[in-house]
Amino acid sequence: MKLEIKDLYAGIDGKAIIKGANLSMKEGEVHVIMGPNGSGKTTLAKTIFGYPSVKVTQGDVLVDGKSILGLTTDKRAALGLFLGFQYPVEIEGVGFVNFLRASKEAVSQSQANMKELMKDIKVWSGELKMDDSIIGRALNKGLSGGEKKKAEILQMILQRPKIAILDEPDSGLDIDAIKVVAENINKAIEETGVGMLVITHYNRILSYMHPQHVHIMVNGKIVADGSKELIEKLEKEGYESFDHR
Amino acid sequence: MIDQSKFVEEALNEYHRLPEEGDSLYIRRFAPLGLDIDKYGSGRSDGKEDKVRKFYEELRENTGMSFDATVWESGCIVKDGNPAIRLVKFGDNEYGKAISNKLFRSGDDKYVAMLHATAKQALVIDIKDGMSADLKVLFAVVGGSLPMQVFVNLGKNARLGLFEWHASDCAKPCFSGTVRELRLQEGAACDISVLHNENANTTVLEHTKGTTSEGGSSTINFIYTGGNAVRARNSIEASGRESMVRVGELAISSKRQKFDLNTYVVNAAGGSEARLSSAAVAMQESTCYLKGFAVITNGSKDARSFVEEKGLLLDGMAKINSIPSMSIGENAVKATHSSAIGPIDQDSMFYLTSRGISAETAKRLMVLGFFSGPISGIRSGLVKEVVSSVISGKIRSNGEFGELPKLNAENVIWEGSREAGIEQHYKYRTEK
Ligand SMILES: Nc1ncnc2c1ncn2[C@@H]1O[C@H](COP(=O)(O)OP(=O)(O)OP(=O)(O)O)[C@@H](O)[C@H]1O
Ligand SMILES: [Mg+2]
Repeated sequence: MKLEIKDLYAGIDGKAIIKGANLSMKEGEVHVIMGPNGSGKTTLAKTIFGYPSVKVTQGDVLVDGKSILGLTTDKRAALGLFLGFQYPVEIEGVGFVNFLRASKEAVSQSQANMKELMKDIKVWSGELKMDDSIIGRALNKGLSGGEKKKAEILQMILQRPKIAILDEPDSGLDIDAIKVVAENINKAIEETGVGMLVITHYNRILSYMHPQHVHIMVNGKIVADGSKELIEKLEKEGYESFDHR
Repeated sequence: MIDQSKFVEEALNEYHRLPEEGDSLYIRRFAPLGLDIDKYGSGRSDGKEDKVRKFYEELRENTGMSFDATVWESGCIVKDGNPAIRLVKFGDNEYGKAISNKLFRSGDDKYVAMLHATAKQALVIDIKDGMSADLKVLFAVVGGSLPMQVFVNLGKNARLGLFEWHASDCAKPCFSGTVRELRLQEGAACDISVLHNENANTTVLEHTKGTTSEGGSSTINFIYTGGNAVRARNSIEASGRESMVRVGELAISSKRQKFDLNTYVVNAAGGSEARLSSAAVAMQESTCYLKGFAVITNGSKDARSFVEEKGLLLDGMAKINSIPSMSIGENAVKATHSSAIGPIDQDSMFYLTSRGISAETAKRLMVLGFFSGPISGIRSGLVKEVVSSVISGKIRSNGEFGELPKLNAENVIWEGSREAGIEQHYKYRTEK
């Protein structure tokens, strides 16, 4: 699978937020986007998924050469895209297991094997060092910030996407948890060959991962593409040297 | 001679034009004319019993639920050998007359008086001191109209679990009216669920009065899904010291349904607790009024009262009016009320659909989620499933109601259920 963002302009309520973003990635690749607060990283991820109030004014988002902008959010996910949220939503009364089942059935277009699903949940929540009481709970309800992030990774693993966009999977995690999450992301890449687009502010999670491509986003634009060395430059100079407004 | 069906139709039309019926309507339409019960579908059984039987069988097939009593306009079948439940004809004897008078005290609601004018029988559920029973009753309106009386008397420390399924299959305008009196003696406890799933030709009139003596506890859940209109006037009282009342209202309206739900929870004694939680979902062009009212009488020291009303609007034309209110005649009490109504949360919708779940399924999940609190207040697992299935079926079919649903509670969890509960749930589902 190939995901391309081509000269994309998008905004909310008439306010331009994404201003000419370009990015291309394939299954199996690990990409990182870094950028200052408010630069539009989350909005870019939401645009890829068709968030209702984001309006694309120019450019395109393509999967395997075909535009996905005309598809509803669920259809985009069905192509094999996954979005790990920066702020996972708490949903009253919707059970975590039933939610997972519904999403699995929707993506695979077949009835889920409950026994297998329950087993997978147990195995992977164990790997992620999560309390498996999450199983009997409502979706994200009452989970701590870090637990919510782990639950996103758990969902990503269970859904087996082809390309996953993880929006700050490390924010709010303690030092040990960051390592656990990174290891599990790596495992998913190894086992399923999923492509990753990781949005982050911190080097720590990247030290456990092997990103081949690093993109810097400033003011709605990808202003630099490169390899891991870009991160070193960033650490030294901050975002200012990338901001050519 | 009046043409009954035309008369009913006109009256109902008029009722529907008014969000809240005025007395003048009642006086013009009902009081002066009176209703001729024989004309109004309560004559001899004209093949209706077969229809009821079909109803019953279908329900049993679809839900696995069997009923201890089945009541229709002109008759009642009670399962053999159940001493807790019986049918009383009003005219039959002194007892029947007493029950009738008890249920229809003067000064009561005008519509109740109208029901009185047409009712001839009451279902009496009488549990002796210290005894317990678990009953399911089907009320089926199959031809005319059903003015039904239910009289529940629980002796000291008696227990009752009761599920009422109110259904109808009328081709012409009709009403499904229930007058219910609950009387709990000291230490008695009831857990009652009343499901209204009548068809579109039916107007639902629901009228319950309850008293709960010292140390007693009344849990009543009303589930409103069917009928072209529902008019509910309920008053449940925590009458004795340390008694407890919990009333749940679950309403899901669609098309042009109009629900008008007015429920009082009353603290009438010290240390008592009364709680009303109303949850309404409105689809399409439907309207739902939630008029919860908390009353704390003078002298009810340390009473606790909670009224919570919440609403979810699924369509732009749907309306929910939440009007919680209270009257407090005592200082040393704790009373809260809250009200929250809004459309489906866009971010929740986005979250679910980003996982591949279609917008329709996401909506259904969220509606069931919205109701999960009130549903978890129902104790019986089977009743939970039935209620969830009816709600889920209503959304799935884009607002159809009055059907007999198959059990399909696919996406429901109830709050507080843990792993074991869930596994058991699926085990139960797959074994069936
Ligand atoms: N719903 C919205 N309505 C109006 N403005 C919005 C909305 N969502 C985002 N924005 C604005 O768009 C800009 C980009 O926000 P976005 O969340 O994409 O940034 P980000 O790069 O993810 O930042 P962070 O690193 O803090 O997560 C911000 O200025 C933000 O205020
Ligand atoms: Mg962000």
